Amino acid sequence: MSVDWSVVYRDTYQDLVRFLHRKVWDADRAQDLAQEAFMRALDHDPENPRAFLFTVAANLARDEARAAVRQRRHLTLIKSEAVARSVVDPSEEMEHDQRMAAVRRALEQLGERDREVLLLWDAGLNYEEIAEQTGLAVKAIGTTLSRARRRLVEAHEALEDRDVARG
Amino acid sequence: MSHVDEGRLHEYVDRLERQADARIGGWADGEEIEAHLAECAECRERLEQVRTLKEQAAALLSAAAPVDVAMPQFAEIQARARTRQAPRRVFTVSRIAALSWAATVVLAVGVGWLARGSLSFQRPQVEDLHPVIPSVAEAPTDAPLVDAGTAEAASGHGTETDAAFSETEPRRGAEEATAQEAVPPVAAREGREPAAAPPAELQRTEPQVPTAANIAEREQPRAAKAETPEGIRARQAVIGAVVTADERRDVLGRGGVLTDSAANEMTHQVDDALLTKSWQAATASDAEQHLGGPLRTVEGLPIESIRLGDVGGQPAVTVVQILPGREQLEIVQWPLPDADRLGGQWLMAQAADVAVTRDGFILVLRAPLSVDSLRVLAARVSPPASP
Repeated sequence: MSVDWSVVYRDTYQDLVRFLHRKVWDADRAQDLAQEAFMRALDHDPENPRAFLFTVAANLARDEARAAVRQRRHLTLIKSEAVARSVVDPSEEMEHDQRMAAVRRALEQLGERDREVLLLWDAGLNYEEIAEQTGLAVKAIGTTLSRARRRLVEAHEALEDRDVARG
Repeated sequence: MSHVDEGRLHEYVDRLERQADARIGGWADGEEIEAHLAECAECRERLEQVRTLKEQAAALLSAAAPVDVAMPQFAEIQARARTRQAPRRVFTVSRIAALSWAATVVLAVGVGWLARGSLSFQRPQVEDLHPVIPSVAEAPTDAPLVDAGTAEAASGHGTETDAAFSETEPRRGAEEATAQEAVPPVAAREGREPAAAPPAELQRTEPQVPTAANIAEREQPRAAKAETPEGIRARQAVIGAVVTADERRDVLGRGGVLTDSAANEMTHQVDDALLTKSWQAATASDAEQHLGGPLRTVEGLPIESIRLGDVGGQPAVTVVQILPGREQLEIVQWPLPDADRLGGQWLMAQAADVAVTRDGFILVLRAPLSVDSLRVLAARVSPPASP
């Protein structure tokens, strides 16, 4: 089966980066890994490109994070000349970082499987794809997402309350 | 029809959201749910709550999205992928000739290795002269799963590591020479002409009980090479390729009932817990209180840190100890109510992880050492299992 990789790339790259970002919490590393996943996909030419990309991305994030624990390193990032980065206001950036840290802490409160399912949905995968990716039954995805969303919101609220109480 | 449960309401809302998406196929339950919603005010109210919850969660996740994701041109990715593929596809005459030579050398080494194996049946003649020494085999494992060095050599991937291994040989040779001097050969005592010195491997005996220190020392050159992520990944890939499913089942069968997927799941659980959660520094007594049991460490190794957290919802502790080669040994431990039911000490051994049970606790040991060495270290974790 012939895959139009330029279309897959256009439709999936941003989703993959978003998914990876919630795993490694570093935008540059998330992009490195997304690019690496695409290069491996081009090498293997799988029948189901999206499933392959997310599987490789999840494994890369896991390997990368484990390796990073032992030794920090940086991959060579392909610089995009076409898209120039906008200048971010430092105060906005700080606010964004704080919001991100709060969400990260809330996500940490979720069980591993709940978090995975939530992040895959947020990255644009549908129920069937998430089921294939996680090994869960399709019918279990709704229940898992329901629990994950509730816990995320509750954990975030609880953390905010705690921060407010601390002043 | 009874009320629609929350999971199905989430599925309904989710599928509606992406109905226009070509990837979403038809969903048979949709019509049934819509018919029920038309009649049930309670479910309609719950549907609104589900929508609100979904929006709140989506808003939170959006807040954690990376800003300014630069999307490189696809052509750049293609070019980079082609560059990486290219060397594998070019087979020139000189390359084939070089490979032939390499194959010859590998064959010669392999034959030598096998011959050494067959000669080793004569070992008792040498060993009879030495006191019986407890060895690695006294660890709770019966046989090594795989020797990473052997695996690397066999696969041809471990060129650098092999070089590192060879650095250990002179030291081993010196120990053997000393052992030979201390005990006269059989032929000399019996008045016969001494035979030619057997190969070094035949003379090898363990000079002492292996300790955590000398195991780590022996691993030093390899550990230093394995520091890079590429090295670790290559070693894991080689080990993964060499350890067959049957061999792994054999190891699992000896100690437990975990399947490969369950073992992998546990490894991933530990990964995620270590990498995504906040672990708090603590003292040993805090750790014991947190665990509700004894804190287990390898005796004789300095403790770098003790941190508290959880793995899969269970209170967990991770202890980092420093090996003589400055490599870190990490022991993640947590109570598992069914651990003892698993029936033994060894649950799994793979790549850079070894998991064992101790009186209702699971311990996962990680270090850039071979599985064999990790297993020996695991056997020296203190306090040991109660009889």
